[in-house]
Amino acid sequence: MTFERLWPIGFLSLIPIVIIMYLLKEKTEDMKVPSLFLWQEMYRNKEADRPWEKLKHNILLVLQILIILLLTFALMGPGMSLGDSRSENAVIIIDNSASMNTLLSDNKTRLQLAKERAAELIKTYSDDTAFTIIESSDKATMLLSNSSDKMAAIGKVRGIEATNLAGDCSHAVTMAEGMAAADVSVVVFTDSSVTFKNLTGKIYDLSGNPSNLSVDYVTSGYKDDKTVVIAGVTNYSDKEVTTDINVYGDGKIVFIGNETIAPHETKNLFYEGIDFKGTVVAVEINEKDDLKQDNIRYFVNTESNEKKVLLVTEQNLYLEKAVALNKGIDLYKTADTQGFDTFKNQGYSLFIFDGLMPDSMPAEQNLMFVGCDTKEVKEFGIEPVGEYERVKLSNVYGGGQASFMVSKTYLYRCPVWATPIFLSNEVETDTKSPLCAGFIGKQGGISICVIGFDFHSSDFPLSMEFPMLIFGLTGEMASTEVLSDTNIEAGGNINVYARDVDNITIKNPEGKRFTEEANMLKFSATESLGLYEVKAGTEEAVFSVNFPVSESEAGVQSSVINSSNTEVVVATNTNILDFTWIFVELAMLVLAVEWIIYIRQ
Amino acid sequence: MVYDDTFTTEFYESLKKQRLMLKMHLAAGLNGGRKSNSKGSSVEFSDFREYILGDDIRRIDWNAYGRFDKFFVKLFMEEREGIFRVFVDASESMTFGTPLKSVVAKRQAGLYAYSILDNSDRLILYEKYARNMLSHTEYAGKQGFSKAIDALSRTDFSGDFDLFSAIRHQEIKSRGVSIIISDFYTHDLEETLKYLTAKKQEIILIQTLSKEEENPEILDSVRLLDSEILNPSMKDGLRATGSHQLKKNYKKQYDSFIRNIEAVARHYNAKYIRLIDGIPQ
Repeated sequence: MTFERLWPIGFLSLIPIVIIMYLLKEKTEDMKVPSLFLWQEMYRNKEADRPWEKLKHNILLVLQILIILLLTFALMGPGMSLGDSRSENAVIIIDNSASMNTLLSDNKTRLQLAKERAAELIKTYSDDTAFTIIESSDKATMLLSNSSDKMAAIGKVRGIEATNLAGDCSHAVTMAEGMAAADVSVVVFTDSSVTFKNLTGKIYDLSGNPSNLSVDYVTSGYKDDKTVVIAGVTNYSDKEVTTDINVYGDGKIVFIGNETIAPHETKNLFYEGIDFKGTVVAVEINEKDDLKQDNIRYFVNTESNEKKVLLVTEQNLYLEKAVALNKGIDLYKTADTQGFDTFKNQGYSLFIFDGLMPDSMPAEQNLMFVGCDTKEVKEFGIEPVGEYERVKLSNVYGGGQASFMVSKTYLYRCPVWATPIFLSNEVETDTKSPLCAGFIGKQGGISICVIGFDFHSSDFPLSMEFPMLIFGLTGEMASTEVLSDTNIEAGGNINVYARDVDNITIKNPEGKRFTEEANMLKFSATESLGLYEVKAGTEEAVFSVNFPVSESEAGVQSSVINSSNTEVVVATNTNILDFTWIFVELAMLVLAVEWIIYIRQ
Repeated sequence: MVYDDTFTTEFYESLKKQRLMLKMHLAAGLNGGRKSNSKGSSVEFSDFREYILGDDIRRIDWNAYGRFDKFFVKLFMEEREGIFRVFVDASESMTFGTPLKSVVAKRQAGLYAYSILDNSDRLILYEKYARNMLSHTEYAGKQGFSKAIDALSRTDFSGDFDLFSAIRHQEIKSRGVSIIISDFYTHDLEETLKYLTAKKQEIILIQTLSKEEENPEILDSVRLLDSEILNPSMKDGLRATGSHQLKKNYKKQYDSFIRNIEAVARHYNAKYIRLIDGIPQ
């Protein structure tokens, strides 16, 4: 027999207390009898006048002690293993990705059931088994390594928390394969497909047969000054569902639709003419199902705030992709350098000249020059000192720290109205001040940014700081959003840019605040679903984190099993024969006997 | 007459009925020292004895009076009276039961007194004098009955009076019948019966007990105290905890106690009557 927990043994300390209370129960009354003649004769044969004789003849005391013992054993969770687990090394992998929040029978989620079964399984192993416990969602995390402490293993299993992250057990299985210990048994509790290559394993299938509807995507736009909402809703169940669809605008219901969706069908919904002009749209399924987290999806609309940017280039994929990261920018591209003085009425916020100079300088738009010879740009005083070869540069913009070599670059004296972007190891002859290969500032109401080298002449575009730099520069110059994206899935990253200050604060849907003393931040604490509020200086923004679409579909896919030693078992069947109820019923029976004896006495 | 609710109207009404039964009981196997039980018309002179109040004055022998200046009555052969000695246990242990054992004892003594005196036998009633001592008074004739009742009514049942030791200290000269009324909580019964037998006494043992003594109810832990110990200290008494085993052991001891009395009675040819709450067993 095994016991699920040992702490109830502490209740056995009640037994001596009960005995002491009986012994101290000194309520002996005096009883006069005609004569002690017969009593004395009787006691001559028995030594019944000692205190502990009370205990020998006190059936109620015995019964009460028995009740304490039975209830203590019941609390300890006695059971008998029905399984056959003899491995020396056991790796237990528990999938805690978003889909494991699905409800199964007994109102338990897949994860709750997985933890229960895993705890039961651990008890069936021999006492010298070494346990490794791994939780797996978007990444695998080892919680316990090679420990033969069963209680510690069970404790780690019970401490695994649900997440909203997309993932499966593939990383964890890879980790287990890397352990390469002899006689390793791998057990995976999951609802998705698992591939074992060279391991002996068992998969506990937690798919069940849930009923789930999900909102897979939402987008919105404006048409004729009204909002249009497009959404996709999928019915993952086996039966047709008719449900209301709530559309929220900035938290208030602005529309209710009613849809009928066939089994295993994705229905595209199109709602137009909604009288709403705000930023945040949400679509919600007004129906209870087994996975509620994917019943609502948010969309932050930045269409009204998008800025038009024109990239003048022959071809520069690095720059093009980096600029396109900024969702607040509507990027256009051309190689034509003619007629820029006619662009002023076409709504462009920024021109980026990548190695190509315009025939005439635009008068009103912000300008960025990348790898251009700007000595002819007399209007702004951005003449280079010279063109240098094999220069070491350092990124000093927005907390950047990257250093890299460039084969060829123009170097500048940083203008007084500008801030350096790249500093070089070359110095000015007269003042010994370092020459810069890039600067940004405002001159005459126009934002000017000069980068003296072609990005192809260095490996800086391969650095993590490159997209952040371009995002920040274009964001600053195009006056766009502070965020690289406004709608992501749980676990995704978002770049935040504060143009004028070095302080960014983000508040998540649960009210928790994250503060960074910087003007650029790569934010990855996106496990909570809902709307996040960003404050960067005086600028405010919102982005949404939604349930991963890939996690909405429930069920174990056909497991691709490469090892003949792998089996799939249904996780709803327990491995332990639970004896708790036997001990409880025995305790009740003894209690009834005690009551009867007490009444008769 | 001293008023005592022992001797109620019902008691007196029952006397005649019980007298006949008792007469048969006394006659059976007991001759009271008589030469013969029958009272015939023979006038054969047998003996003299001193006159006691209540005797028929026609029996007074005036010649003996003239000689001895004392009244003597003649006894004829068939009329030789029996001498009945009644010993009542007046200890504290007799004050238990419903009805009280003391009441039962007094009524039994009263009943025997009536029968004895109605039969013109002599009654000697022994009373507690001190812890181990007895005094006695003789009664004769029907007039003696009321006096005997008075004496019984005044009996003080208290303390740890040792009747059996007191009996053995009594001077008994003539044969007769000794009736002992007690609960017999004593180790000296056999010794006493031996003494009485040696004094040519035929013995009647009347044991009076209560139901609580036959089958005591102890539910919890108690300290049993002997009623005959006046001021018990902490060391006195016996602890007992109510249990099935305790009841069983007591019953065993009680049965052994009764069997022992029966055996001793048989051995000394004594009649043994046991009354529980006044009811013969």
